[in-house]
Amino acid sequence: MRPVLALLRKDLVNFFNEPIAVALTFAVPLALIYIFGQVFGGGPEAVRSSGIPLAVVNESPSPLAAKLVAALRAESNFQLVTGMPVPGGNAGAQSRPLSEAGARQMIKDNRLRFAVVLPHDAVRSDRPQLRLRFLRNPRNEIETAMVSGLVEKHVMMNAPRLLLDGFRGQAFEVLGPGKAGEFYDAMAGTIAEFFGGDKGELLKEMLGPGDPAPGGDAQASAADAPALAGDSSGQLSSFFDEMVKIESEQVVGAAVGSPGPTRNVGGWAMMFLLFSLSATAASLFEEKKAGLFLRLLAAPVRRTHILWSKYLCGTLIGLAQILVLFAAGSVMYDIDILSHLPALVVVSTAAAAACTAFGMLLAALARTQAAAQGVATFLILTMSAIGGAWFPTALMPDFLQSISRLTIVYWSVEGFLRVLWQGQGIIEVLPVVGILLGVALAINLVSAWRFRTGTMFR
Amino acid sequence: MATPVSGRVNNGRPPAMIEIASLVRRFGAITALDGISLSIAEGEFFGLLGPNGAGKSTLMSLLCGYLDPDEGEIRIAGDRLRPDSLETRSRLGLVPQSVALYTDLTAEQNLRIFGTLYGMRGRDLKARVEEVLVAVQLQERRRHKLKTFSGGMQRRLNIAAGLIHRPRVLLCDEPTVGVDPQSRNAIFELLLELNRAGMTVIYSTHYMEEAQKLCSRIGIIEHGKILALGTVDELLARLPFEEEVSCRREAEASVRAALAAHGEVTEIDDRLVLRPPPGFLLSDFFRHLETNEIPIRAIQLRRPTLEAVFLHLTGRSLRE
Repeated sequence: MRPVLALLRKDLVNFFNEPIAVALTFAVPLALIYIFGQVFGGGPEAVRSSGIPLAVVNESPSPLAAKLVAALRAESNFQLVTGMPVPGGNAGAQSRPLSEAGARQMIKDNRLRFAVVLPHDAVRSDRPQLRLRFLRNPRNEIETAMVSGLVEKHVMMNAPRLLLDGFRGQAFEVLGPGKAGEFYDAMAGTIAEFFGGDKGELLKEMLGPGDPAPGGDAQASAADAPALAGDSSGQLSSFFDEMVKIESEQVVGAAVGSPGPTRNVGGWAMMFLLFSLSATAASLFEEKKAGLFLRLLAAPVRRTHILWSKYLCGTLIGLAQILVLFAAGSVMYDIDILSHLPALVVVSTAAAAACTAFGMLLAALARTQAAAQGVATFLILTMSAIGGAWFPTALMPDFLQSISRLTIVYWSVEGFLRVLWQGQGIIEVLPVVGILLGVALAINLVSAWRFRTGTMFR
Repeated sequence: MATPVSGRVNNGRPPAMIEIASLVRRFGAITALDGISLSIAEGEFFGLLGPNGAGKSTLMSLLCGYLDPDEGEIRIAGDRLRPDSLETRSRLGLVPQSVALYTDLTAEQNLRIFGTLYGMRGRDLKARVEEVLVAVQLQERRRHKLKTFSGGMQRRLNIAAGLIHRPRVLLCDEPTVGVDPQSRNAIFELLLELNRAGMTVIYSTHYMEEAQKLCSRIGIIEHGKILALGTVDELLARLPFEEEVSCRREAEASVRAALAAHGEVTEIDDRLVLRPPPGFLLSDFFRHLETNEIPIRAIQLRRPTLEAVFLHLTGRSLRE
């Protein structure tokens, strides 16, 4: 037992001798728990996301359409966009109503990803029917599934009630109080079953103050209204389909052959590319430890030569890694990379350059390889989480979304999606490439200064 | 600025290859080199002898241009060594204390890399790689990765990498640390041969036997200062005695007492050594042995080593 205790003591002493590694051992899981908590709704109200932007174009004069818009506005997971900036105006200013064409363009430009369009004839005057269009750019499946579900829920929860409000008089007149009551009862039950909510509350909302509650001869009425009261979901579905017509249209990426892998491959690529951070830092520390810098700098070699060679090596290996990953994605999952190859290479190069710059910065700032390794792990995991490699950034609190835009993961994933999902070419992705290369340049300048004053070459 | 200890050599010696003047290098509050000045002639085998932490490696790092001095200057073949003097640095070859090579590469690949860094190309590089591999007797292992080499073989390749570009000066910073005796002798022979061929060698060590065996001139360094400079004979002449008296550490108490009765006794390796004080007479000492019936074979007389010089200069052993 004594040897075990002695060796245990040795391991603990070694562990606690590296304060940064100790701190990060606890900081990494805490940071990730915090981020996951924020994304999946664990945070306090004050720091939650202000919602996923959802454009609403209401061209309908019907008050029912306005009520539906109000219901969507009340959904806390949405941030409704109803205006668009005037060309030449202040950024972010929404000074003219959003048109369908405008919403489509914003979706194509990735300024928005979802829009609900209520056309002029959204609400029919002759029958209880609502027609709307749902425009989407499903570049992130989690986000898309969430938004689609919420839009459908709100439309289905509100539309029948709103529509039937307008037709309540007609319903009671045509069906009679008993059958109308049964009809509403069945409707409330179906909505509660399909979309959640309390049937009683829904029924209360549907029925006016003077309307008779269902019951009494309701049983008999049920037989007279099989389309609603029956247990056939096909019949119910058909009924809702008839009442609410949602035309869903994919504005961007419709031509992508293998949407799932195409959407995710950028995030995967970044995850692996980030490991080049620690590899670059590790190689610098290993060469320092081996005394190679002494030998190299005794030769006609400058520090800048060493750093440039490391930087180019990291970038080239990173680039090769990404391209191999994309090629594998093409073979295994039919991701179309050949049609986008030039732009893909440009974005991949910029992403690899930015990642390698981070690795160099780690080596420049850390005093030991263990410290650099710890910080690299922290950065790999947190940047992947915050930067959108794992889940959509729109689900995060606003401040995390702001931080997200400071990460190279965010801009790299953005670049890959623009190329592979939106089909953008080199010119169109230049802004993203410029940001990545700008980040790389800024980081490299800091690293160069730190390498000059730090201990790496001493 | 102080004049180098030996100055520019004109008195029969070859011209100076390296001139160091008032060199100071600090690391925070620690002054690693404290105003060192010396001159090393072309073709000299110069030894830098001192204990660990004396400043030898710092001086080597400054000589090869890895570190910049805080004060003072270094001239290589008359040209001042500056941070941007890449050409001047090409005249120097460095054999660092550690095996500073790429362990995942082969012997040949390592040499080619360093040759290329010195501007060598094509046939010249190929021929030189071959030449150097033969010189360090590693031609048979040229395509083997360095990590498969023994410690001695790695050390030899470490030297080969310092020689690849045909430097005029070879800086060897304790190149035999951790090397087995056989490899050590091979390294000595190689260095002596290079020196005989005209190469200036600067050899730092804390092994006085190595310095004594190899170097034509030695600088004893301690606390960042050159305490003494000269040939082995010149340094030994600084001692107030010509012979050291010693006995085995486990010798009888009467033997040890006999030594102690005549001066300060120091323990070096497995022996107790008496450094005779001024006025010491061997005849008195032997009379003392005879009187006390101590057999003469228990005592050994020998010529002092540089260890004694260091002890005389600093009051402490090189190995402390």
